[in-house]
Amino acid sequence: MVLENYVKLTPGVPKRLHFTDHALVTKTLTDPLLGRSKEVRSLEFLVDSEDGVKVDKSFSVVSEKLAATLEPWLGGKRYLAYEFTITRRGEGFVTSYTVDVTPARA
Amino acid sequence: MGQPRERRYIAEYVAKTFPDSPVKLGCPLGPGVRGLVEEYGLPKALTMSRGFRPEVDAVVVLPEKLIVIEAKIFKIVDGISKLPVYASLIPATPELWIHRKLPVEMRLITPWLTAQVQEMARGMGVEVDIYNPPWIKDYVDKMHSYWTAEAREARAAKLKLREILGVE
Repeated sequence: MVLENYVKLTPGVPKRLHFTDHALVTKTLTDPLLGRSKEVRSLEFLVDSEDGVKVDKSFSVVSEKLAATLEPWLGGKRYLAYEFTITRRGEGFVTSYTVDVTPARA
Repeated sequence: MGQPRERRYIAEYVAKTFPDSPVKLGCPLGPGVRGLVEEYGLPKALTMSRGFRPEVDAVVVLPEKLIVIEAKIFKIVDGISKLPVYASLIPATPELWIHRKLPVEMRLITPWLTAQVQEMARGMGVEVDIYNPPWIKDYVDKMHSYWTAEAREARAAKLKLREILGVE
């Protein structure tokens, strides 16, 4: 049985999300290259809609590029009024993200 | 968290300037590589074509036009020269297919500008918007002052002091 409590991004596949809350947290991750544990800061969102389907999931952002892109919508929870369609492209150090920001009523 | 500055800069600009419009940040442009589309289908071909498709910092979708935006903190001429190429790729971009008939405005955002660069932008048909929030102003001022005589002298004095004190 697989419990899908976290939103996963598959390279090249857009994922449309609506966020309801967020927090900056410290997480312990295992480095896939070195196999060592390390602490990273993560921007965590609560998600109530994924590709138009109601869900109760978390979305974890550890990429500084993606966090910087989303930062202007954090203050005052401005993200509540928008949907974010995030497409992860590439792998590893060259990963980039396309982020479509759409007013929720549009 | 750390800040890739230009990503934060462009995102902040569009969030403030176009709060009611759809925006694409980091939008790839141009068609997928010929041959891949036929063999793998469009979605997979676009993923595989990644290295061959340039990315524009932002595309804003307005009812009457698209605005293609590059954000440059220092390499302003690079931004101006890329925009006409990016604009020319819009009609061939699958992600923007439904907007292909809209007129395209080219816009550069930057925290500072000289008259010469303004003239270059005008010549290329690029609109320039000066956006200079305090967090970027501090960074620009620091970088611009790096090669001034005062900054060079201050660095030299600091180095000398480190030598005198034997600090590595």
